[in-house]
Amino acid sequence: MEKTFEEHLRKQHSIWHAFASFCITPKQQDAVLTYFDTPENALTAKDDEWEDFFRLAEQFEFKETEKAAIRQVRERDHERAYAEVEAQGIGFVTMEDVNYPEKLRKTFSAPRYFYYKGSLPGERPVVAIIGARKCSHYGSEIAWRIARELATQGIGVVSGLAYGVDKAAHDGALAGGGPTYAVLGCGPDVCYPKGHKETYDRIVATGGGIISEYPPGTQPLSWFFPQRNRIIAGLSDGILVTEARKKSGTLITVSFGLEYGKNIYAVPGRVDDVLSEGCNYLIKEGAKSTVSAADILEDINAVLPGKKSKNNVQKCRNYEFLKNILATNEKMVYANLRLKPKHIEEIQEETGLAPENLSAALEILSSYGCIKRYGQAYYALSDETNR
Amino acid sequence: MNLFRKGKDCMLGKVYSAAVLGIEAELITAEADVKDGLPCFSMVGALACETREARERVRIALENSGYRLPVKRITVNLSPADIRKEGTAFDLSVAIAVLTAFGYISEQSIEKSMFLGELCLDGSVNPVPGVLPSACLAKEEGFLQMFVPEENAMEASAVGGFFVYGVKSLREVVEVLNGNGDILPYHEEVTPEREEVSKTYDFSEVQGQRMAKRALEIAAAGRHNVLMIGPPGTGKTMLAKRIPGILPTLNFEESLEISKIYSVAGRLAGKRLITEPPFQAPHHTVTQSALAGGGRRAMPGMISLAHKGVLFLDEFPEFRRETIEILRQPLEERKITVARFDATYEYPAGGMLVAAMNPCGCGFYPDRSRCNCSVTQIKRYLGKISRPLLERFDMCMEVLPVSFRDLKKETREESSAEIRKRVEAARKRQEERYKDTTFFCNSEVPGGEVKKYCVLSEEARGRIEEAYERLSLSARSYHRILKTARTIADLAGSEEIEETHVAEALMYREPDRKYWGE
Repeated sequence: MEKTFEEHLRKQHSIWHAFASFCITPKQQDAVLTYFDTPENALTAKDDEWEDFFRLAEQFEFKETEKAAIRQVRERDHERAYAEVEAQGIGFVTMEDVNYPEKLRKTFSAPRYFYYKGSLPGERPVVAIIGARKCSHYGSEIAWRIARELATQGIGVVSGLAYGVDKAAHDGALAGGGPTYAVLGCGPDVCYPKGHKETYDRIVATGGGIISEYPPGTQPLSWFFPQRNRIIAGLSDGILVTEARKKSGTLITVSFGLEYGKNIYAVPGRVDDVLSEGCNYLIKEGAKSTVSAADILEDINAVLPGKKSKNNVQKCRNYEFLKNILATNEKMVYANLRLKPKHIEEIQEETGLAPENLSAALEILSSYGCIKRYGQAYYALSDETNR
Repeated sequence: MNLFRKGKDCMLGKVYSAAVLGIEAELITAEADVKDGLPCFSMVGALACETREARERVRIALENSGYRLPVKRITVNLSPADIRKEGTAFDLSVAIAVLTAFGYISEQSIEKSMFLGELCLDGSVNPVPGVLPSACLAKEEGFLQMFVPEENAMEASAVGGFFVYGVKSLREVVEVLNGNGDILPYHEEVTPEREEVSKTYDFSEVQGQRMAKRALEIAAAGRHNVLMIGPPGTGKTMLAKRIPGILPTLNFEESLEISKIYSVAGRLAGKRLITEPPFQAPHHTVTQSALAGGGRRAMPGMISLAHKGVLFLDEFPEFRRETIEILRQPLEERKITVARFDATYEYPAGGMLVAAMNPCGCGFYPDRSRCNCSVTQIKRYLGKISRPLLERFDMCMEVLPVSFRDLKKETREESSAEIRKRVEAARKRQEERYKDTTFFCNSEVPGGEVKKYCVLSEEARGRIEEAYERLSLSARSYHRILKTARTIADLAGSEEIEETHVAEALMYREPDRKYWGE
């Protein structure tokens, strides 16, 4: 039977999609493919062949519910099921496809297929920015800044859309106007956590993409997340960790990255800060200590501006401008603030200003946008005016 | 003994007592009628069950005190008969009415006299709640003497203007009335001067925390409700306990008003008038009626006991949601109405609300090296407080953990008395400004009149308009910021609100939506 390559691919897609819909663990998938050789064989095999397989594959612990699910998937119309996925605007890529990212293909545990929404990075250099979900302002702020800077230079940012650093990285990249890619631990059409829907939508709208190994509609399960971490590591050219504990999922991603031969970047933190322990450990082990996007850009050989970008010049002028109109108190307070949020009691003690004057100065400074309030009483320098 | 004073079978005794409704007293007459007929003792007049039981107490107490009751039909009416009477304070008046009816006491001797007290079976007199409002009523009605249980004599005499006898037993009352007792009217100099109770809690003991102290000074000056956020052990409770010490000294009328509430709640027996702004700190398991008032027998709740003082709710999100939601209306109206099927009682609730809470379940957020709460957990914790309730707080502040360095440091800190002077000066300006209105403090200015009283300078207007845009404030929080700015200006002694006053007030605005987990 004559088939064009497109038709062949389409058939393969529908078969792999059916295989993905089995919803079994990677080890079980390996077992199925070892026994049946190809997913096509697995789907066309008779019930008694599957019975033989289940008997042999006892150590893979197929549950009755899973067996039932596999049977159900085998019996359905694969072409139609795949058409439904396409209708949702979700793309599907297997190893055979030309648009399967080369960087990912080169890794030894590359996924056999994945779904995506939006677009894929292609040849564009991509940096993964990852870190703790429960991060401090420091971690998320730095992630945001570096992501924004990278995005303005046309570098893609990949992360996992989780709370904390991940979200800050996506938001930063979006603020820089660049594409950003989120690898999810659930179906590509499921936004987890739900509260990040706005970011999720903007990622797709600004030319980025949502990537997932799991068929549409899959709800997140805890063991999906370490799995998706290997895709984050595989897709990237370098991995930046802004804040991580010593034992964390972030370091799992980093170890995938090391196995795949990616560059590792870490933002140094204070030695007594448990949230920076992971980063400091990575630096000790040879990761590149990173304080700005330039540290990453010089490795990626991207166009690194020797001079400041237009945006930066604008900002400096802004500060010069402010200097002239600020009152003594306000300048004093401004000089006292750092990037790390500081409590007003500390600021008061260090500047020695009367409480009423300090409060007024802080509010006036925030009205100019040079400082930012966190919570109820913490203030930090804002990113808008870099000194 | 003349049993036939008013004709063969008409013997009547009429004695005054008082019933407390809300925190005001109502004059009650106890009438005892003695007639021939089957021997029986009945009581009428819309009585609660404990009041009706006075029948047994009075009959036995009279006998045990040595007064023989002839075999007659005794009927006692407490009039006006349509007011529901609760409590046991009428026992003494019923007993005296019966004794008068039988002629043990002359009618002249009980003229212009009021009797309050619960009887024991042996004839001794137990203390009762609500003596102070009754004493106020006695003064208004021009009574000459008042008989109260010994423990209540101090509060009754605080009003002044008539004789107060603190009695231990029924016999003593009769002896005084018949002029053969050796009991003298209670007499003690009650000075409304501030007793230095707050000496135990003084702001000079709090090291550092200058910003927090400043915020509380503003709150006290304008009687603004404050929400304090901070990790455990930052001194939120320590600071709150010291707020009464910087509130303006109570004058005699205020002191009397608060004492009345305490008297009704039965908390004044054996004590002087309340001269110190009260401090109430209910535990977070408090029930709705304990907090707001009510119960089977209507009683003022904690919110009323904190009138003119401080109602401190520690661990604010731990309170049951329904419990704190009922605070909303009283916080606005400065009074609380408790409806019962037979009556509606109104209690004042003009205290300032001070609430304290941790920023998250473990309490250490945003210090992520110690806080291990997930974002969802933090949101859920903060979500326990509804936004409408949050909007009742004029000011919100975050307290910093005290470092060991601060504890060791020995700098001279301002005493509560020094801060109080400034607060009192600011309050004086407010009184002056609001003398023709129904409100007293900046926090009470109704929304419609904010514009009239919060006059802004040109720069201040620019500042707040800019903030309104930048922070996308609600109209409500805009008003609250203006009121706080008004107080700051009052503290600074300025009639016009300047730019710096607005800027400082902005600092105490409610937490951003982001922090609040929305």
